[in-house]
Parts: sequence; C-alpha cells; structure tokens
Amino acid sequence: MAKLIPTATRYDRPDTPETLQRLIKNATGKPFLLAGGTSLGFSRPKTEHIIDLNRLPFRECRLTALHDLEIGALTTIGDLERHNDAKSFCGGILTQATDALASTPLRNLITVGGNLAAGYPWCDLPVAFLALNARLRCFDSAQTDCVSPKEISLPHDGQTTFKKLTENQFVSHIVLDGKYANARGAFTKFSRTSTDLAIITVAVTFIPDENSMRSVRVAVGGLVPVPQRLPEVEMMLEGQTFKNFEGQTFENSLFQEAGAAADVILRKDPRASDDYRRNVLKTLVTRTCIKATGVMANEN
Amino acid sequence: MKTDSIMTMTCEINGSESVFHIHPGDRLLDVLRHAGFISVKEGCGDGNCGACIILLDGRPVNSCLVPAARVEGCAITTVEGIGTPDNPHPLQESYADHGAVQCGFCTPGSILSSYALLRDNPHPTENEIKRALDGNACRCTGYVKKLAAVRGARGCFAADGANRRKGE
Ligand SMILES: Cc1cc2nc3c(=O)[nH]c(=O)nc-3n(C[C@H](O)[C@H](O)[C@H](O)COP(=O)(O)OP(=O)(O)OC[C@H]3O[C@@H](n4cnc5c(N)ncnc54)[C@H](O)[C@@H]3O)c2cc1C
Ligand code: FES
Ligand code: FES
Repeated sequence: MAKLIPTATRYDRPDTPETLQRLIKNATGKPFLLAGGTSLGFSRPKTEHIIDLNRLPFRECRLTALHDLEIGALTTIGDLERHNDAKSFCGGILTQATDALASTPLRNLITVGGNLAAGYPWCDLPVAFLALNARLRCFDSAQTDCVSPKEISLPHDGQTTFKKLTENQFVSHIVLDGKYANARGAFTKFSRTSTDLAIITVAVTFIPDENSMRSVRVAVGGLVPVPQRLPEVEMMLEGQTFKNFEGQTFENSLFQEAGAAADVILRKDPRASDDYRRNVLKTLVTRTCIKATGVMANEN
Repeated sequence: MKTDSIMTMTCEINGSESVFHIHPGDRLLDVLRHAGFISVKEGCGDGNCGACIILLDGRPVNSCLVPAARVEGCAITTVEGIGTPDNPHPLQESYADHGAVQCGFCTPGSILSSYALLRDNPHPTENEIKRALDGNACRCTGYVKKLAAVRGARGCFAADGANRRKGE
C-alpha cells in the first residue's frame, strides 16, 4: 500500500494543548503536525511521528464583544465560508478569499491555521489576514511554561512583510481586528483557472470615515515569497475622499495611480513572466481598491 | 493514544462499523480500496482530480490526502453506500438517464460531490452545482451531462426523504 508518510511509525491525537506541547517537546526528531493534511499533496515529510491536531478544541469561530473575529486554527475553509459572522466581516473579504481557494473537497480539509502555517506563497488567507490586521494566538512548545498562548501581531513587530512561524510555534486562533468588522474590504485572486494556485493575490481594507479612507491596508501575495503590505500605496490612499471617485473612469482615478505605485521583488513563477506579473499587479491593485470602495460603476 | 507501527482504527463505513489494522502513514484511499470499496479511485494522488472523493462525516474530501488513522470514530460514505445496482439512489439514476457517465472513472467522486450538494441544498442554482463539482476532473470531458444530471436530480432528497446515515 502507498503511504502518505512512509517513515511514520507513531500517530498521536492529543485533545488538549498541554498534551500537544508535551508530545512536541518529547518527540524524537521533528513531528508532522497534521491539520488538514493537504500540504502532503506538495511534499512528504520524512518524519517518524505524526501528531494529529484535529481533536484539539480550536475549531470554533466567534465574534467577540469587541467585534474581533476569533477563528480557531482548526476551522476548515469550508466551515469558515459557511459562517455568518465571517461572511459579513469587513465587506465580505473572507468570502471573496475562500471563494477563490482550491476546490470544494479540499476546502473541507484545509484548515485556516494550516493555510497560514504552511507558508506557501500561493496561500490565500494570509494575504487577507495581513490586510485585516490579524493577531495570532500562539503556543511555544519550546517553553517550559506550557499552556500560556501569546498574541503576536501579523506581521510581527510592525514590519510590513509576513514572517513564517518558527518550528515551535503552534497557532490556536487567528484574531481579526474588530476595527475592521464593519469596514470596507476586497480580495482579488489572479490564476489560470478557478481552482489553480494564485499567481497574484491582492487584499485591500480601509475604514470609511465621513467618506474618506482611514487605516488603509493593502497586502499582496502569490508573486512574492511571503505576503507583504504595500506602504507607499497605503500612504497615497490614506485620507482620500473616496466618494469623489463616483462616476469617474478607471483610467484617470487615484486608484490607478495607487496601482502604478505597486511594486515588489518577485519570486520565480514558471507560469508568468516578471513583466507580465508587474503589469497585472498594478491593474489588480487598482481594481481591488475600486471593489473595496464600491464607488465606480465602470471599472473597465 | 500512543501507537507504534501497527495501530487499530475503527470507523463507520456506509453505516457499518469497520475495524482496520493500519500503519500510521497509510492513506485512507488505499485502506478503503484494500477493504473492497473499489469505487474509490486513484487518479492524481495529490488532491487535484477528485477521483478519490468520499464523504467524511457527510462532507466530500479527497481520500488520497487523508491519513487513514485520522478517521478513527468518523463516518465514511462511499458510492457503494448510497445505492446499489438493484436499488439505485435517484441521483445515480439521473446520472444514468442523462448519459453523464463515459468511462466512469470520475463518476463515484462526482456522484458523492453532487449527493452532498443536493442533501444540503435540494434546489441548487447552476453556479452552485458548478462550484460543488469544481473538485471533480473528468478526462472524458463529460461536464455538460453531469450538470444536467444534477439539475435533473434537484429535489431528490425531499422525495427520497433520507438523512440516511450518521454524519449526513
Ligand atoms: C491541489 C491543491 C490545491 C490547493 N490550492 C490552494 C489555493 O488555491 N489557495 C490556498 O490558499 N491553498 C491551496 N491549497 C492548500 C495549501 O497549499 C496548503 O496545502 C494548505 O493551506 C495547508 O493547510 P492544511 O490545513 O491542510 O495543513 P497541513 O497540511 O496539515 O499542515 C501544513 C503545515 O502547517 C503546520 N501546521 C498546521 N496547522 C498548524 C497550526 N495550527 N499551528 C502551527 N503549525 C501548523 C503543519 O505542521 C505543516 O507543516 C491547495 C492544496 C492542494 C493539495
Ligand atoms: S486521487 Fe485524490 S484527488 Fe486525485
Ligand atoms: S467519465 Fe471518464 S473520466 Fe469522467
């Protein structure tokens, strides 16, 4: 029989974070933490030990009193897309992201935490999370002080680029900033087919304040090794009165200028040339800004 | 909970309890086929084609990416469990009536995706049908007929009245 992880000789299913931390700490070699398991479609770890996370109590998704959306790391993408609070959060940006993510059977396996932790450049949710000022609740299995999760902001330490989790970090929750609960947001994915991996993804959020744009966040993924924000574009849009764009055309809008400012250092992608991706990025940033404001009828 | 090399896994398949002796790294796809559920096919082996789809606690998933040990205590449905040649499910009849089967390799996975859709949403729109089948590749390009088959089976759960198995 073919095996998913041929070297595995041990399988554990912890149901508390304490047990998980103990198992990780006492493991010989690096165990594979199994969430949705779909990363096994891309690479097979050479590990002896599989630790199945699916019995841990981190599967729920809820809106807190501060309007933060707290998403358990083991929530599947399918469950997230069916969740009413997630659907309405920040103009439906999460629904736009999950709509574009893999296929129906895969969405029933892929977890929110796994999508974040896998660290693949094509993962869609981290880009939306960056635009939503997400925080991660993390356990550090290397610490002796066991089950006290720490909150870290995404990206860490005020940087603009997403930092991959370290080996010892286990995420229990992703917390989306309540400030953006009733804000405007949009997500765009560019790929060859509806179920293909992203070539480029763009997420834009802002808080409408008297028709102007505040706390603008623009994040991109797919064409960069890890998702990152575009601070120049954000600065250009900050404080602009978006209602002024009503009736304007795509070609002469401020959003077009914002798109033109979008620039990043590209990773290699055999599917599309660098020039092509740079051009498409500019258009996608423009379009995603327009989609987030909802002001322009004619965006072509 | 700790196990070394050979472990025991118990789950429910098509309504009957089954016990397996497996290795920790075994794929659910192989374990099911080995146990005789040969409607579960292997196409790509990496989550792209949907030939290996089963219902895990009622939801379609790619069994080629699921370690068998993960389904301990879960309910699994394969296409053998929703109808037989003598007593087919209305959805299976609709696939036959609409000529939605060519070589048949993708058919079990497609039927299970359609089954989960119609059970939760008896009257889906065209777009909802397309989305539910977005993980089922057909190398005979039989997509048009499949959409027609699902359209033709709309409402079959209301008529069939069935919440037939645990987890569905
Ligand atoms: C054919 C195919 C197409 C896909 N298309 C897309 C797509 O279009 N867009 C997209 O975004 N994704 C897509 N994916 C999914 C993506 O590539 C990853 O496989 C997926 O996000 C991993 O999530 P998982 O829950 O399956 O995690 P796993 O595969 O179980 O784990 C992935 C890694 O993360 C670690 N991990 C998991 N959970 C945690 C946690 N809570 N804390 C710390 N570490 C953790 C694991 O140890 C492992 O190293 C696709 C996958 C496949 C197979
Ligand atoms: S064999 Fe599982 S998706 Fe192709
Ligand atoms: S009928 Fe042949 S693969 Fe679909």
